[in-house]
Amino acid sequence: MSETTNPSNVTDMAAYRARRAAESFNPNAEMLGDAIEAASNPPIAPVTEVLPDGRAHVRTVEGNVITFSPHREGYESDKVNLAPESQELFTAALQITGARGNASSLLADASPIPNNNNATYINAITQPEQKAA
Amino acid sequence: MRNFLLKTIHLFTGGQTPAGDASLKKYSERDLLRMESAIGRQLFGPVPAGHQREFFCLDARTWIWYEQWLDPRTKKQMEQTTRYEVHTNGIIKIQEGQPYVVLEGEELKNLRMAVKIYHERVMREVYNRNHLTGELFPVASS
Repeated sequence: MSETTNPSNVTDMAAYRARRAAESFNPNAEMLGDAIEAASNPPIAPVTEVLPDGRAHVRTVEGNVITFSPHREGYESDKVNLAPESQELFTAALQITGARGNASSLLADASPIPNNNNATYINAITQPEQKAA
Repeated sequence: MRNFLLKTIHLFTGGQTPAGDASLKKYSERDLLRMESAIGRQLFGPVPAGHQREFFCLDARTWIWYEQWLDPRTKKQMEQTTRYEVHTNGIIKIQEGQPYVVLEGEELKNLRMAVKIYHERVMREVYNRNHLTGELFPVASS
């Protein structure tokens, strides 16, 4: 695979942009940048989306999405340092929500669903339900 | 957060399950969740008469067990939502009015087993995918 981007530059840029994005929703922007830097192997692209609940999605150069969730002490990545039982449940859930998102994007009438299926689902849930006429 | 969970639960208890030919019906994510939960509720043994149970994966970090029943003594409708949250250091069980509990022992073992079976059956029966690889099963030639 040919590398057209210097990994360290992508990482620095990602951390900077993550901080800028994080500042709009959480004062611990510095911690988000630190968490992204800690998880920056492989190199990651800039924050692709910030969800209403404060989570942030960043995409790796391979196209995988890493989610960073805000907690009291800062941010944590969904890809690193999970306890074994957490890893099992998380991996299963990630695959299921991915399949769910793919299926609904193929079958549903709704507007195109982006790759980050969690964001789509949460947005759908928090919208008020349409009352039948 | 409670309202958010209740709304999620009511997606299942307040509506109809999809019916009709799957090839003609377009499913929303809500429909797909109902289909998953139809499998999930079977994983813990028979549902007692008069109970309604849902068990499903809400998102990458959350599993929900919902139970609704009529209290025989007070005749009041009761419901309980249990949320299992995946964290780096373990699974946290959250029920309204109860302190957060780090899941361990038999309950943790049972949850892991249920999730394992849920994962396999949902991927196969709902999404027609291999749960090990995530790949679609090939369509059988006629």
